Amino acid sequence: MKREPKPLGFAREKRLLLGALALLTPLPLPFNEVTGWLQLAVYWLVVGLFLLRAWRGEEGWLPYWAMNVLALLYLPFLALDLSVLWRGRVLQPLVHLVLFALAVKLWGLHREREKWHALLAIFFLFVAAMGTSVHPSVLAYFAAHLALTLLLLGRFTAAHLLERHGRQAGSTAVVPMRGFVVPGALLSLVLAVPLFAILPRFQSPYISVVGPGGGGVTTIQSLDDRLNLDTIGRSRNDRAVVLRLSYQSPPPPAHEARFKSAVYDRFEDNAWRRSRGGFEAVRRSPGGVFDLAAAPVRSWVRIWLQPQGRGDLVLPVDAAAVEVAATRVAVQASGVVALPVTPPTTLEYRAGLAERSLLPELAAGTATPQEADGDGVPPRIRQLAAEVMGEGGDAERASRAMAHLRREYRYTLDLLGSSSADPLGDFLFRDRAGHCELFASSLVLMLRSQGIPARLVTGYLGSEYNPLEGYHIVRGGNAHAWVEALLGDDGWRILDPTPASGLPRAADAGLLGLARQAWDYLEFRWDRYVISYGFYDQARAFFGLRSLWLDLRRLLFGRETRPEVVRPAEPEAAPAPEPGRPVPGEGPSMPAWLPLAAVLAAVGIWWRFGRRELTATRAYARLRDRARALDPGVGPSVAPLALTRRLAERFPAAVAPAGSLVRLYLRESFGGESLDAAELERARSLLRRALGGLKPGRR
Amino acid sequence: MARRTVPEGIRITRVGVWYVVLTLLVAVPAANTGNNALYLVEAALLAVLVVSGFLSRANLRRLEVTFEPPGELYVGETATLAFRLRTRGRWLGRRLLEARGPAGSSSALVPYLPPRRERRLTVDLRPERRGRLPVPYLHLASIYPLGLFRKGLRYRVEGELLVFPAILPAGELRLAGVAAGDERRVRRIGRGHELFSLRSFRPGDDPRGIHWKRSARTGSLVYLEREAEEGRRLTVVLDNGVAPLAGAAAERRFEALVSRAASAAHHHLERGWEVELRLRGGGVGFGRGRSHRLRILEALALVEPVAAGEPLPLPADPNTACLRFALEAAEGPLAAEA
Repeated sequence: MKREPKPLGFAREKRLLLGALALLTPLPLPFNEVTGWLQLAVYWLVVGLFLLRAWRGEEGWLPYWAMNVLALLYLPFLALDLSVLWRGRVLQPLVHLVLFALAVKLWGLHREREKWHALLAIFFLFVAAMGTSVHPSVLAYFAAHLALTLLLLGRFTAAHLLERHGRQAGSTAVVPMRGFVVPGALLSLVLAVPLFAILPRFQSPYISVVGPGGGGVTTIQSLDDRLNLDTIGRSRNDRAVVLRLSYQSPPPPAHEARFKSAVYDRFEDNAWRRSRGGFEAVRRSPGGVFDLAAAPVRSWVRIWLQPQGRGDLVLPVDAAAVEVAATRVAVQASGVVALPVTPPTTLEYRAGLAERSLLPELAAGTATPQEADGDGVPPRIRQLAAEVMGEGGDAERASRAMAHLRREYRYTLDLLGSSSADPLGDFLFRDRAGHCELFASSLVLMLRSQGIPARLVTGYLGSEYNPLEGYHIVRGGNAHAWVEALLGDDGWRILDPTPASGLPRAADAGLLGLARQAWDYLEFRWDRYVISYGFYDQARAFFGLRSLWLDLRRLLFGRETRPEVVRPAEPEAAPAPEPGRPVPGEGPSMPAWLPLAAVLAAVGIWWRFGRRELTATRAYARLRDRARALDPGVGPSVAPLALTRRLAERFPAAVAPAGSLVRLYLRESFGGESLDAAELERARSLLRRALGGLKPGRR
Repeated sequence: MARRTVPEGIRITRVGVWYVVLTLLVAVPAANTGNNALYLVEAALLAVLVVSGFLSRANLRRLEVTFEPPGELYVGETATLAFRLRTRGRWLGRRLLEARGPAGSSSALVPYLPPRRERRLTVDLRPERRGRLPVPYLHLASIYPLGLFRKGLRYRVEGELLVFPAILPAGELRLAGVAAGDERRVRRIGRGHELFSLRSFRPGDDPRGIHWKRSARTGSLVYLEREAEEGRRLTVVLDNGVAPLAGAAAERRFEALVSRAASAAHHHLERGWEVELRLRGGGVGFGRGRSHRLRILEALALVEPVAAGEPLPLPADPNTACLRFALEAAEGPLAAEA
């Protein structure tokens, strides 16, 4: 006989909990471009009305026939979603379908088992939301969702049992959940960390790069192949992190750190363009290092580059070598270094620094035709250059032009976006004020008009120190443009005509700056140890723990137990890291004390909660097992008094305490008495003495 | 008070099966794509599983259980067994504990037991057989916190109950003559305990029968006459020499016989009679009152069929009323030989 489905008990409470969870679950989806805000707003409206109705405890929910009609009505929307709106994609229409089904199901909850259908839909949406999220703020969503889910499951469990014991309605508040939900969620989150770390990885970390919103990987404003004269000026207030750097040796002064990103050689239609040709593969040394220039490396800097939608590496201008997890690296004569692929996520690499700027002069003494082309320079700029630069050597004339621009022109961002037909003319002859791109572009054209090859370079100038972990941050606001010019025998040299007032500002001080740094720290850690966490990190953590264990053994037992580890030779002899400053990515990926603290905490927890209480029965069992191990004549089912007699024959030293212990055991086990604390302590002491008497030498 | 526990294992619930299936389902795309956000979800699902197990274990342990035996327990009558639960921990309250006594008893739910507090819980039991009923454990089980697993634990309480035979209503007994004629019996002067009459002291009366208080009040010696005891005495003879019993039907008939003997003794004792019980290989002498009734019921609760070789002890005084319960006499309607 078919069993009648059970009606929904504790209906108001269950509806409210499911509604709250259904309201929260799809929150990250529009950020991740899995659904639109409009669709989500409609969904939230429907669920909000459901919650309102459930809160009032009203009856009369959607009948089954109406749910079926609604499902039929949705079919055309599904077809539209699949074939037109999200053509070729499955996830988005599927998520829309589940959102619709969940909203309808909530309104049509009648039976007990249907709450699980709704919860299944919520789970699917949760996995979709998490699986497409990479922003650290998703952690807050994750924690909130976890706590709410624990509350919901706990309440469902309480309702189930209360119903079984005769309560059909009312509230499950007789079972307080306050002491369970918050500690349970916290405990689960804490436990999830090591589980996350040890779950086996079979693939490289997958990063879903979607949109500029809070849900996806934030790709930085890329300095593209075409650069108009406002690009860098507009990014001056951009707080997005572009680079993070960790220096082995003392870093250069923050305002002098200069990182080269791109070189532009053609100025056409008031915009700079770069020639993509001229790349050559760089030879990789046996140590895995790509040597860019034949100069000794004085120190190394580890760099984390945010994804920028291109394969170009951003390098310090004094880089002479680069170490990156890639099979090939190509370099242009202008010093631009590029990877064959575009990294989808944060790229980590090391740059070997030389004593002086090397990147500008990789092609010493030569210039491309575009860099030497002075024919296209407007006549009045040519005339200005001739007046300003005068006669003399290339270096001297270039200095005069740079000094003129610095002295006679004012730095401003006020003129950004003035769509003039001749922005350089306006800058040089009318406004006499502008931003760094205008200064640098003017200098390039002036130099070229006077026969000095020059090119526009974009990159980043300056950095800020993050004391939370000891690394430097370069933000989008540090974007800058400057000039490289071929100055006769001196080769390619950097010229920066922007006045000091126009150089990127120092970092924000005070609370706001600290907050930014703290957020960046979190973001960096999240990106490095969650999103990009992979097999090699697991291996590194494992070897770190192993190394720690060997060190601990050496410390405890004074033995040199650490096997000799064959390490690949460092690319160049590098000075030791600065004492007291942690270097991210070097050594174990977690503080060395952390595993030890975890072990101690585990021992403490075991001692407090997990240790089995010694009873006279357990003490007797241990005594019997020990006696059996020493005396084959003691059988597995030996009676207590027989054991005492046997001990008297073989181990007289153990008889007295063993006899007392057996008496306690008989009282506890056969007499059904509960021994008090003093007697249990006595049992412990008797066991110790009896075991001592069992030693073979003490017969 | 019991603290010692015996684990009763762990059983996955239907919700738990779904939870494990979903956990495995998330693991597949996580491993297949290397998406660390899905790994995070997977780790959290596993962590919740572990935390649930830990809390479930902590929820059942570190309790003190005390058994409170019920007063009297009869076959076929629902009785209430009471236990006291007390939490030993300082921090952790216990939630959703389901308790069950011996086999056949109902279960009770303790929704919440705060830390270091005590709660009394009761379970109903309807014994099907007379005799000793051990209550070795209180079985505790819980699906707390999330309903994924059902974990059980036994607390040793070492209790034992004695189930008395079923007591039939007096009207059902149809005892020939004795019980029904209770009100028609002849009162005689004798050496019993009950008052018969007060009269003036006559020479030859036993001076021990003088009612001194009444004599002091009236100024003349008053003599207290007592009722003869044998007028309210009953011997219940149960012939248990029927072993071996052939089959379940015979066992049922014997149980019915024991029940009728117990009912007869019970109802007569309730009416103030002195009752003795005679069995092959034992019995209980004359007596009255509650404690005597319990002694007789205890003897009848534990009586077993024995071989018929031993003689059936009959009452020495032929004037004493006697009810004999024997299997051959019970073949017909429930009746006793008076």
